[in-house]
Amino acid sequence: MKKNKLFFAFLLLAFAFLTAGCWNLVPIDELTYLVAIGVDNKPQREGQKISQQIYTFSIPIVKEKPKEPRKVWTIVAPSVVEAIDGLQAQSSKKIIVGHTRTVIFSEAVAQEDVYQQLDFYVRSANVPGDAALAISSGQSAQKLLNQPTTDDPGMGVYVYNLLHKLSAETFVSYKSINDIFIEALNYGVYTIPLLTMAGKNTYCSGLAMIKNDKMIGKLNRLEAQELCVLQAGKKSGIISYLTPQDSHYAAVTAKTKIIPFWQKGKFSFLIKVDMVGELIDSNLVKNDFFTSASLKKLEKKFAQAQEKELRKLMSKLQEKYAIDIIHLGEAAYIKYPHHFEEKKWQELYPKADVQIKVNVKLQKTGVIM
Amino acid sequence: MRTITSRQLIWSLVSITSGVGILGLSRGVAQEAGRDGWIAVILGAIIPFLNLIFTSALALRYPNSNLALSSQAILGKLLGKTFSLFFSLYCLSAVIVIINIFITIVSLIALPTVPIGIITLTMLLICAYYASHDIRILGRMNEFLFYFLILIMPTLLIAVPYLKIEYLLPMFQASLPQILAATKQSLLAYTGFELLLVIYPFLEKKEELIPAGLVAIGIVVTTYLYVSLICLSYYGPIAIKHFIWPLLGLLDSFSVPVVERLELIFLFLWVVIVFRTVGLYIFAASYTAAQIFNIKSHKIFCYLSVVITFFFIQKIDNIFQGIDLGTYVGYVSIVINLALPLFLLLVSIILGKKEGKNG
Repeated sequence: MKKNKLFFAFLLLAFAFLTAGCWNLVPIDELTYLVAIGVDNKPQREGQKISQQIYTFSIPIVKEKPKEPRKVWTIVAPSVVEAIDGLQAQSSKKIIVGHTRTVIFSEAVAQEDVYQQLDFYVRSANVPGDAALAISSGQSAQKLLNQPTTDDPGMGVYVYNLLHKLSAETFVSYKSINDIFIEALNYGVYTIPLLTMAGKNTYCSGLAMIKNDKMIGKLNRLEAQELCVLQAGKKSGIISYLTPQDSHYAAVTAKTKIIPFWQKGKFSFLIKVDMVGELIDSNLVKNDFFTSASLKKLEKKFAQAQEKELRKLMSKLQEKYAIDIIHLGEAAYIKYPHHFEEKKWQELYPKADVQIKVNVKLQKTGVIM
Repeated sequence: MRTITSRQLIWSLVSITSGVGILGLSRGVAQEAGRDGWIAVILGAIIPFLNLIFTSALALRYPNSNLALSSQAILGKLLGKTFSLFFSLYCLSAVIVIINIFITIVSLIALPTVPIGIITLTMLLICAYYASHDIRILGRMNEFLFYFLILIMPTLLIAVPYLKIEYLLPMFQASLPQILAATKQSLLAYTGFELLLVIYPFLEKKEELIPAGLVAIGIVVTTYLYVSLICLSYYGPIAIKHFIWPLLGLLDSFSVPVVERLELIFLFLWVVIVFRTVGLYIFAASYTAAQIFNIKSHKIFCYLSVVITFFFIQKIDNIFQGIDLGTYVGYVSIVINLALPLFLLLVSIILGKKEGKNG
């Protein structure tokens, strides 16, 4: 019995020793962490067979009170694996990809093939699946990663935090690199956030639309919000009703339902959006008060304004881009699996009749009448 | 004879079954039946259910004899020992499959710099040490460690806000051949119940065999269904086919404050589950081998199993070879689950053999 206990204790110790990594311990200051990776296309030279890309790596400095919070390295290589290899050759520290927060593609890269670019980040067990993916709008990813940030240690953490925080007030929910990969496989159409630089600031300026893994167009910030409202599900954001005389804002939770119909051999759709929320800003004149009737009127105005914008976006999606990004086809297939033909849907989608109905209910008006 | 309670039998059966199959089950069923893959997860339970029925019927005739003893009594010494040896070898091949998948995942995610051979040997030695004890110790350990499985389940709830019910709709669109092909895939995840042939004589109250078996099947089906529905509605019917272990990929998609890498927490708990599964297979293999060779203690065979399995694990070159081997072993398991107890039962009925009477 005693022998057994000793044997077990030995095994336990051996296991702990081997798995804890004590025998080849690497102190933290001998490691380098990639936090953001930027990918740009390098113009191809004549006769060059393998296309090269410019990889930019944002690396925080692991030191107490460093002079600069991070370093940005740029490597030209045909793939991200070779770029990391090249970076390792230039660094005395071991490079760790397990803390990658953000991957940024330039527009040119996104216009070529997004899916192929994603393979490394999803395949690697070390790159976190919840890392953010964005497209640098109008400028190179390299330039964007060199942009200084105010609060965060670098652009990688800044973009990651920015895209996470967005979902609370803009209807645009956070999608990780894994989520985008999954959408690419299931639908072939998806969106990726766009980042734009304005002076020293970087902000999310909208969404890039990807069809067949190529970026085909951009939606501005408001269109991006409207797109997310059109997509089935529940999300929160701020809506407005603006005229030269009026300006009203409400924070709402929108619940969208896509109802397909099959009539006379054709699909038609009703997109029902129910918005419930709180009036947060209104330009009421002095001594004017809200009443039940005036609030109802305002709700109607909000709904009409939203409907108008959503319809405008819907026709843009159908006619200009022919991109079924709100998954009307999926809704049709779920309800009428025997009538739905995926091949024909590509032709039918741009002409499909889509009605949009918005209801707005302002349950709260803040603390003033 | 050392005995186990029916509760310990439940935990043991759950432990044997829910090992590595759970990681890739949702991919396997979705590959064949798409959105309706989850139906196959339920249908797959037919194998352990039939095994339970046949083994219980055999247990009525041979309440105190396990596979090695009952097969010798029914088929004669030579044939009985051959059957038992085949069963022992099958258990070792199951160990090879499970350990191979285990080390692939652990070295990929948690221990990339530790040599694979060291992880393999350490795990095998610990499992062999666990298996070298008598069934009562194993039963207690299974009961204690079962709660790790309960701890794992809530970690998946983090994905709930991101699940898309549309990925499961419309339901019942897969054809019957597709559902059957998916069921074939899910059967592989239900392997393990065949060890009942070795364990049932240890049960304290034999009349509790069927209720305990049914509860164990219920727990396993519920767990599998829960995991499959979450994975299917997270990945969708197309994307799920691209992930070798959808369950691990799902956990990798989320970051939790403080913990950050959720899949590492899962892995830590999962090690305990695999440890029990492998341990019980080594126990079944060595206990049966000890009875074939009329050796009182099965301990020596436990450590011999380590040598044999370690040698064969080194021969597997990549994960796809391991998965293919797992599929073949799974098919053998289906045969053992159904044909072996049924065959022994029928022969014993035809020959009128019973424990204490002609045998």
